[in-house]
Amino acid sequence: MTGGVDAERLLRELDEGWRQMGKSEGGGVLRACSMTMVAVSGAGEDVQAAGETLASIMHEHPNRTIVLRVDGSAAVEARTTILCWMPFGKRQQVCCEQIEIAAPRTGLNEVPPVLFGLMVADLPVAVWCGDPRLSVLEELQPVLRLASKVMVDTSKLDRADAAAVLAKLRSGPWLVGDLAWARITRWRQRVAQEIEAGCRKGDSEVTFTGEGMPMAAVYLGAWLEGVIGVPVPLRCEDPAPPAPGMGRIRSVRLGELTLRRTAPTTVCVQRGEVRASTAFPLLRDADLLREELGVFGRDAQYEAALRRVMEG
Amino acid sequence: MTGALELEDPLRWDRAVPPSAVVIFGANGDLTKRKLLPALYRLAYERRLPAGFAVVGISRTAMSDDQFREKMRESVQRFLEDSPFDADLWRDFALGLHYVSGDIADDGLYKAIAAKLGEVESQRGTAGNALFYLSIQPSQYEETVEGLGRAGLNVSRNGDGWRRIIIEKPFGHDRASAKELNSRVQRVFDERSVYRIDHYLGKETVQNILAFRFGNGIFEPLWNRRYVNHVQITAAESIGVEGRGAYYQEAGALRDMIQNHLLQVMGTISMEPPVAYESDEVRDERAKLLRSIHVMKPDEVLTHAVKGQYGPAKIGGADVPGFRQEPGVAPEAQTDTYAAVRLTVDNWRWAGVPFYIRTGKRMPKRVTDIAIQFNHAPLAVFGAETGKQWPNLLVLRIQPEEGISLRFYSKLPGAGMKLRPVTMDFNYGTSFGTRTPTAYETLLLDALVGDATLYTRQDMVEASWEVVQPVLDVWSETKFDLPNYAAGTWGPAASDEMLAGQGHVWRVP
Ligand SMILES: NC(=O)c1ccc[n+]([C@@H]2O[C@H](COP(=O)([O-])OP(=O)(O)OC[C@H]3O[C@@H](n4cnc5c(N)ncnc54)[C@H](OP(=O)(O)O)[C@@H]3O)[C@@H](O)[C@H]2O)c1
Repeated sequence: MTGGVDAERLLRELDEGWRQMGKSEGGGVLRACSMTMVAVSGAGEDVQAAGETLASIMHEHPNRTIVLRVDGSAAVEARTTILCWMPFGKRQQVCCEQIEIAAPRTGLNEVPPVLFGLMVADLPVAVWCGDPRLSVLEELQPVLRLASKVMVDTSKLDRADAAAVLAKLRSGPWLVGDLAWARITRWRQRVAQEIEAGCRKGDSEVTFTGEGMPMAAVYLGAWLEGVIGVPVPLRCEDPAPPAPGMGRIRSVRLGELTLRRTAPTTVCVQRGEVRASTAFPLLRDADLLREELGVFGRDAQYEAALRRVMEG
Repeated sequence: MTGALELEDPLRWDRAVPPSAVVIFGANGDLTKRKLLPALYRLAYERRLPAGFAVVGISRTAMSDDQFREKMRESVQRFLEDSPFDADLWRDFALGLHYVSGDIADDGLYKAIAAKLGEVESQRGTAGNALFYLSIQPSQYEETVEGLGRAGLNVSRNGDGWRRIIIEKPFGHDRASAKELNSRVQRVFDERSVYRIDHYLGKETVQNILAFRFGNGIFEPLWNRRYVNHVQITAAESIGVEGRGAYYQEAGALRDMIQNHLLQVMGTISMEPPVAYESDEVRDERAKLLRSIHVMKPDEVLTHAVKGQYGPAKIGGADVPGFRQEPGVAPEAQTDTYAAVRLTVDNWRWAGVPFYIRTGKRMPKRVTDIAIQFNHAPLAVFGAETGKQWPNLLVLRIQPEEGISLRFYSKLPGAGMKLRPVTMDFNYGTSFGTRTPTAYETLLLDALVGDATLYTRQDMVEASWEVVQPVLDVWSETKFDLPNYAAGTWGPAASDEMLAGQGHVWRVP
C-alpha cells in the first residue's frame, strides 16, 4: 500500500464528483474519454503552465489525465478534480478527469500500482515527460510498458544528452514521440511541398541561433540528409538567444529554395524568383502534444531520422 | 530517387498542392467573397499551397489587380471562420491575385485570360496548371465552358500541365437539361477533369459517415433490411428564402436540396463498401446505389411524395410572412418550400426498407440528420409496450451539432423491471474540439490535388435527376392547394399521413 493513496478511493472520489456535477448541471454533462494520459513532471517544472497545456489538449483528446509530480513531497499524496468546459458557447458541459499524484523520488517505486488501478480500461495510455530524463527512471519503466506512446521533449537538452535518453527510450516496446521533432513538421512540410512542386534540389544547410545545437536543427538536418542523400551542415548564425517566439531554427536552404524565418509567425519562402510567405503560428507545447497524439502508429519518418541522429 | 519517401509524411501532413492557378469566373460575386477566397486564404495559412500559386478573378466589373486585392482582403477578413488573419501572409498571398474583367459572352475575354495565365505562369511558376471555377449563374455554364474550349484553355499551352473545371450547383434544372449540360461540358473537358460541387459531400460529418460505417466492424452487419426498419433523412431550415425568393421560386425544395445534397447523403448512408477509399471506387458505389433507387411511376407520386409551402404565422410574437408574401415571389406561386419523398432501393441489402427524405424552409429549427430506425426486439420480454414505442435508433447528426447518438433501453434504477429509453451521445465537435475545415476548403484542396472522391460524377448527377424527375413532372401538372403548412411547423399534414400509411411517424429531431 502506498502511504494511504489507493486507486479505488480516488476512483470513488471521481465518481462522487460526477454525481455532484450531474446534480448541479440541469443540462447534464458529457463525459468524454479517448485515453489515459500520464504526465510526469519534475520538481523544477512550472506546474501552472503544465496544467494549462494538459487542459488545452483535453478538447481534442478528451482523457483521464494523471499528473505525476516527482518532487520533494514527504510522502505519496493524491487528489482528484474534474475539468469541464463549454464547447463553442453551448450549454452542455464536457468534462474530463484529472488526478494529481505527488511523490518523492524515493517513493516512486510505490506509484506504478496506483497508476495501474487508475488507467481507463480498454483505451490507449500515453505518457508525457516534459523533462525527458524522467522517462528513463527505472521506477517508471513498469508504467511505460503499458503505454502505447511515450512523449518527451528534447529541446532543452544538448545533443549528447538527448541522444542518450532517446537511445534508452527507443529500446522499449512503446512508440516514442519527441516534441522537438514535431517542432520541425512545418519546415519539413514546406520543403517537401516545394520539391514536389518541381524545385531543384542541391546543396543544403540548416542555420540556427543560440548556444548549443538545438535538437530541432539536428532532426531537420537528419531528415534533409534522407532527402538529398548526403549529410547536411548545421550552422549557428548568431550565438545570442533568439527573440521570443522566433524559435531556434533560422533558415533552411536546399538548392534554389530558401526558407527563412523573418518574424515570429512568418517564414519567407524564396524559390528562384518566386517569393511567398507562409504562416508559422506560435507553437505551444499543447500544439506539439496534440500533433504527437495524432500519430498513434509506426512513425517511419521519425524512426529514419532518429536512426540517422544516433548514427551521426 | 533519393529522398522521395521523405517527402511524404501522411501521418503529419496531407497531400501537397502542385503549383497552379485558380481561375474564378464570378470573382465579384457573393460566393467568391464569402467562401472561395476565405477558403483559399485558409489553405495558404495552413501551408497547403505552394509558392507557385495564383488566383485569377474574372467578372464584368472593371477593376485593377490592386482593387481586386483590396476587395478580397476585406472579404477574407470579414468572412474567415475561426481563423486569424495574418497580414504578412496576406501581403505575399495577394501578390498572386490577379483580375481580368470582361463578359463571358465575349471571345476577347478568353484571349485575355490566356494572356494572363501565360503571365502568371512565368511570374509565379504555376507550371501551366489551372483550375477553372464557375461561380456564375447556372445559365452561363455552357457558354463559359465553350468559350474556354474555343480559346484552347481546356488544355495547357505546352500540354504538360493539367486543366480542371469546378461547376457549382445546381447542375441542370431537370433531367434533360442536366444531360444536355453534361454533354456540352464533356465536349470540352473530359469527365476526369470535371468537378461538380456538392458542398454537402465536403462536410466533415458526411465524410464521417464513411468512417463510421467502414472503419468499424460492428455496424455494417446490422446495416440491412433484416435489422433496419426504415431510415429518415431530415434537412430543415428555420429561415425562409432570405431575399432569394425569385431564384427559389424557380427551384423549389426538391431541386434545391433533395435532387443533389440529400440523395448524395442517402447514397453515402446506403452504398456498398468500396474496395478502397479512392475516387473511382467510392463514386462507383455511390452511383450504383443511386441507380438502384426505385424510380416512381406517375401514379406512385401521389402516395410517395408530398409537396408543401409555408404560409404566414406568428412566431414568438413576431409576424412571419408566408412564402407568397416574400419579395420577388408570385402571389400564386406553386413552389415547394417543403418536399418529402418515400424512396426504396431495389437491391438485396435494402429491398422493402423505406427511406424517407424531407426538407423544408421555415421549420421549427435548423437541423440536418439521418436516423436509422432498427426493428423492435423480436420478443417483448419486459411487457408488450417496451421496445415498441422507442425502438433502437441511430442518429447521425450533420448540423448544427455534428455527432452520433444511439438510443437504447435501460432499466430504471429501483425495484421492478421498468425500462426507459436513453441516448448515448458522441458529439463530434465537443469530443474533438478542433477547428474543422469548411466544405469549400476541403473541396478546393481536393480539386487542386486531383481527388474527385467528394465530387459528383456525370452518372451520379443523371441518376439523381432520374429519381426526382417523375415527381417534378407530376407536380408541375398538378395544381396544389397551397400554402399547406404554417411557418414554424414541421410541414404539411399530408407528410405525416404518408408515413402513417406505413405505420411510421416522423421523428422530432
Ligand atoms: N452564394 C452562395 O452562397 C452560393 C451557394 C451555393 C451555390 N452557389 C452558386 O454559385 C454561383 C455563384 O453564386 P453567387 O451568389 O456568387 O452569384 P452572384 O453574387 O450573383 O455573382 C455572380 C458573378 O458573376 C459575374 N457575372 C455575371 N454575369 C457575367 C457575365 N456575363 N460575364 C462575366 N461575369 C459575369 C458577376 O460579375 P459582376 O458583379 O462584375 O457583374 C458576379 O461576379 C451560382 O451558380 C450559385 O448557384 C452560390
